[in-house]
Amino acid sequence: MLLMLMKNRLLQGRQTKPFPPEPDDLPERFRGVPELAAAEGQCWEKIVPVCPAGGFSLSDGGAPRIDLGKCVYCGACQSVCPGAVTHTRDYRLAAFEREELVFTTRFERRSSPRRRELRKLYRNSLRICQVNTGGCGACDSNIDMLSAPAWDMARFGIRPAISPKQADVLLVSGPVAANMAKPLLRAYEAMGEPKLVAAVGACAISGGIYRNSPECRGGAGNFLPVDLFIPGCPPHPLTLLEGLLRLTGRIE
Amino acid sequence: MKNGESIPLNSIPVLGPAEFREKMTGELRRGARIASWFVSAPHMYLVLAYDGRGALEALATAPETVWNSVCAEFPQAGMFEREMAEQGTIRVVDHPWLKPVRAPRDEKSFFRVDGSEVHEVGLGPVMGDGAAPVHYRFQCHGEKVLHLEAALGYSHRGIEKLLLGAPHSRTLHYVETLAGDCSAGHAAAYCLAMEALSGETAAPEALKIRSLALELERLAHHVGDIGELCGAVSFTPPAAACRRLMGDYMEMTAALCGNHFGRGIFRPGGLGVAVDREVLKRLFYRLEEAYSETVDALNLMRNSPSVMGRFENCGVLPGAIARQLGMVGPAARASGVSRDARAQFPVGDVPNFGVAVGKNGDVYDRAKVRWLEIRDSGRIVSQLCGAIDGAGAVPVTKYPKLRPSELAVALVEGWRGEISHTVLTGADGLVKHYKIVDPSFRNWTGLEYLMRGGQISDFPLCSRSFNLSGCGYDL
Repeated sequence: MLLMLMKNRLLQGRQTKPFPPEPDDLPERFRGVPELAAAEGQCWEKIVPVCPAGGFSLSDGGAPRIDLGKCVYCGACQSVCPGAVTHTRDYRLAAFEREELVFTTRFERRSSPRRRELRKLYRNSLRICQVNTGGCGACDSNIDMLSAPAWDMARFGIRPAISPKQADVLLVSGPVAANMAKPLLRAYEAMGEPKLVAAVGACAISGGIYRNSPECRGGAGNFLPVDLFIPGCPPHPLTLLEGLLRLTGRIE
Repeated sequence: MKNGESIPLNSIPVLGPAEFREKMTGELRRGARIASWFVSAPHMYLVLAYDGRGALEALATAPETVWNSVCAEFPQAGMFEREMAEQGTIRVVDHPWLKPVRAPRDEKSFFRVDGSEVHEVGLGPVMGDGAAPVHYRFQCHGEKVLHLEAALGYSHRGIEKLLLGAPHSRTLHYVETLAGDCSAGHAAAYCLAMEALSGETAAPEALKIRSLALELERLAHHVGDIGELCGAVSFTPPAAACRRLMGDYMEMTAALCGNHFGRGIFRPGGLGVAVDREVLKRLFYRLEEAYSETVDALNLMRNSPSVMGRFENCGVLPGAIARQLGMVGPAARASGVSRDARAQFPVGDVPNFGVAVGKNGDVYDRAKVRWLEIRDSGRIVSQLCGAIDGAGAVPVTKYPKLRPSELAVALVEGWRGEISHTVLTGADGLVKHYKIVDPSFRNWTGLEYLMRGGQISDFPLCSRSFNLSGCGYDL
């Protein structure tokens, strides 16, 4: 048995992917940050009816607007209007301010004004506690994947905490189904200071496709002060990792 | 009627209340199973499944205001009666356990055991590790669990209501996210129902690719579940290997559609993504590699007497109970209930496999059933990779045109068990009622049952051996 185990471990070798990742580490058909082509002569109106969650919309003047916090990265836009919107392979979607996720030309992110403070506190240790407020579970599954050897968030000092009382950051996923509103608030209250909140996935950021459901409450921002937004449906483990690394202040 | 078929609503016999009850109880006594049961005004619809002959039957009645529960004789009816009572469509009397299904619970609604040495343990809904929010209430005497009750409803998003008026731009997304780790299973059922209602069936190549996606999902989650079982007993080498392999199988799914959960692969009428021989060839090589490593990881587990000893006789669920509760999936098969919609209600080609069944219904058998299904799914995916030329995608602007006033039933064997979608269309050709039964809806009572008399420290192992979906139950 011991020999079998040793053989297995040796054959497995080092499974951890580097960060920043190699191009191959993302699936070939991965849909990342969407890019808008120049406005003139595009078929924007064709996109609006197929966009499921309002990630793409038109302003009053007819100019296109993308909201990464509502986008579910389904690619319907680029299939009805090729070239007008293109999902790139850029996995870096996380932002500190909700407003940064809405853009009319290009997605531009700013570093956090609290970067030095975050870096000082969390550079070597960030403990994350997940609260699933009634989401489908995909975001949580991907967060769990971060503990697996391939992504190994522990090498950056990021580790899971089983209870909010031991956590630095509450990772909220799901649209906040009505029955989870109180448990979410209690989880936040149980955390000690200093504490952070990250909204993970379209549902937690904006309610996602459940935005208009009477049983859902429109995402974490309606209940808690959110420090980091990680878009996606669900966000790829690399998107999550990049977001958490920004929260620790290790990267801009 | 058959699986994946649609019939006109006015062809369903509307029975009088007594006749309906007699027919229902008669068939259930003869071994039929409730595939779905709901009220869509003005009628109550019951879809019975006859596993032995692969047939379904739809019945209707005008519901009485008061329904006398049949749960005492047929426990499988219990959850459906509770659901209808909660939705306010009927008033149920004489139900042995008429409790909320998805509504908030108060303290008094939990069954309590009183005594000076009895203590209560509450777990959830915030689980810290992102598991679906569920509240478990144990009544314990020392380590021994006297009673376990699961309170759900925390993930209730009102999906059945959101699907009314389908198809529209959000429909497929609701279906794919109703149980996020079973996107392929539910999307397959949705597409089957839509295709039955519209007559626009998918091409054979597209159907094969859908089968492939379903089996990849099964592979990924069964391997993940076995990893979780090893993790629960702290045997980390196979746990870590299986974790990584689950990711590998999900990467194979991502090769088809760009995300790990199979979203966008299914579309009524065919596929949502174009797949060609190149993609399939690459998938085949990745599968070969991952599969041989999977076998290695599983052999580590199977060759460890202490792990096998821990699994054996832990969390025993007798076959008779599983059958009475109407359970489905690996959890039921491990207890000897040979139910698999792929074999019993096939649509199109039947994949070449045998239904994996266990004997004792313990954690060992639930792991064994998964191991056997991994072997079968690996072989099916491998064969499909070689047998498919490729298929194009159905445009995202094309919605199926549904026939008005019909009822369609779609049963798909997801990796947790049988998924059932029953769809009614209105006179306008849009969805008037959408009833979803996720396998977790049927199986949760089984988990509550088997913990009785068990050790509370066995709970993580037992619940992982079931791996139920809170959001699938809650809708």
